[in-house]
Amino acid sequence: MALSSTSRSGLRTTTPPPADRIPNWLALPPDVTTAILHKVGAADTLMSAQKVCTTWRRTCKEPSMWRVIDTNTWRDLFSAPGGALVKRCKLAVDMSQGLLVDICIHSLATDDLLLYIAHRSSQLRHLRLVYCDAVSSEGVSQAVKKLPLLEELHLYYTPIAKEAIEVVGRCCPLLKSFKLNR
Amino acid sequence: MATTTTETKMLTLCTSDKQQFQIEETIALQAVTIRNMVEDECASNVIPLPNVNSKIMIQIIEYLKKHVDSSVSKEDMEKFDSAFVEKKLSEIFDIILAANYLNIKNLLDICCQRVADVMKNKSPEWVRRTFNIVNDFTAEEEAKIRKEHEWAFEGVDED
Repeated sequence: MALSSTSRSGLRTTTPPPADRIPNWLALPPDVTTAILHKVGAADTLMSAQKVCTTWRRTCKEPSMWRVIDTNTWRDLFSAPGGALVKRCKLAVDMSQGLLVDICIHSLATDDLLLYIAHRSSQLRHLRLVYCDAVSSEGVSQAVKKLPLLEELHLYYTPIAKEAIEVVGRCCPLLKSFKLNR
Repeated sequence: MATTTTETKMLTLCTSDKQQFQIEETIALQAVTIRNMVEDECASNVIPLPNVNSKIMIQIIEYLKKHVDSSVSKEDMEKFDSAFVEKKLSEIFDIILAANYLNIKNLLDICCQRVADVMKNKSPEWVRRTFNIVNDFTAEEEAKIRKEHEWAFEGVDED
C-alpha cells in the first residue's frame, strides 16, 4: 500500500533502528489504526499524527475522532504565546464538525472560546472548565442556551454568579451533574 | 482457582507454525474468536489459528492466564498490563494483529494505548522515523496542510 509510494514525493527516507524488524504499520486493519489514533487524543499530537501520511490524515479527519477534547493533555501549550491554546481548541472544535460530546478546558478559556464551542457543538453533553477565571457569568449564560443536551457542567475555580446558575437550570433540562467550586 | 482436577476441560490450539498448545478452556474462551468456534462446534478438539505464530501465542496465553484469575486485584492487574506492554514496538505490532484476529478486546486496547503513548508529543518526522512510515504527501499537499492550520500553530514549537 502506501509504503510503495516512496517516489511520489521522495521527501524522506528513514533509517530503521538496528536489530529490530520494522513492521508495516500502514498494513494494520483500519479499525485498529482508528483505535490507536483515537487514543493519541484530540490534542496537538493528533495535529501531528495527521501530518504523517495520507492514510493517517484520512483517519484523523473523521469527525468521530474529535468527540472528546481534553486540553489538560496540551500542557506544552499552557505557556505558549499568542493564545495558542485557544486557537488549537477552536481547531479541534472545527474538526469535530458538530459531533463534540465532551470537552474539558484548563485555564485560558474565555467567553469568546466558550461561545465558539457552544455555537458549533449542539451535541455537547459534558463541559468542564478548570481555572477559567476569564470566563464570565454572562459567557456561561449565553453558552448554555446553545447547549440543550448538557448533562454535566463542572466549573472548578471558575466563578459565576447566582443568576448564571439559574440560567443553567432553565436551559439544560437534561443536567445530571452540576459542580461549582470557587 | 477452585477447579476439580478431573473436570477441567482442555482445548488444543494449533498455531501457524504447527505448534500445539493445550490450555484450559476457560482461559482460551476469553478470546471471542475461539469462543465462537467452540460454540459453533466447527472446531474439533484442535483449534487451528493460522494467523498466530507460536512466539506470539505464548505471550497471549500468558496474558489470558493472568486475566482469567479472579483473585488478582484490580491494581495488580493494571501493574501486570503495564509491564506486559513493555515490549519492542515490532512485538506489540504482532500482538495487536493477533489480539484483533482472536478478538481479545482488553489486550487490543492496552497495546493500542502503548502505541499511542509512544506518539504523544512527537513531531510527524519523529513518528515517521519510529514507525517507518513514508511521507507520501506531495509537496503541494504538504504546503496545503501547513497553510490550513497555520493560524493554530503560531508561536508553537513544531517539535
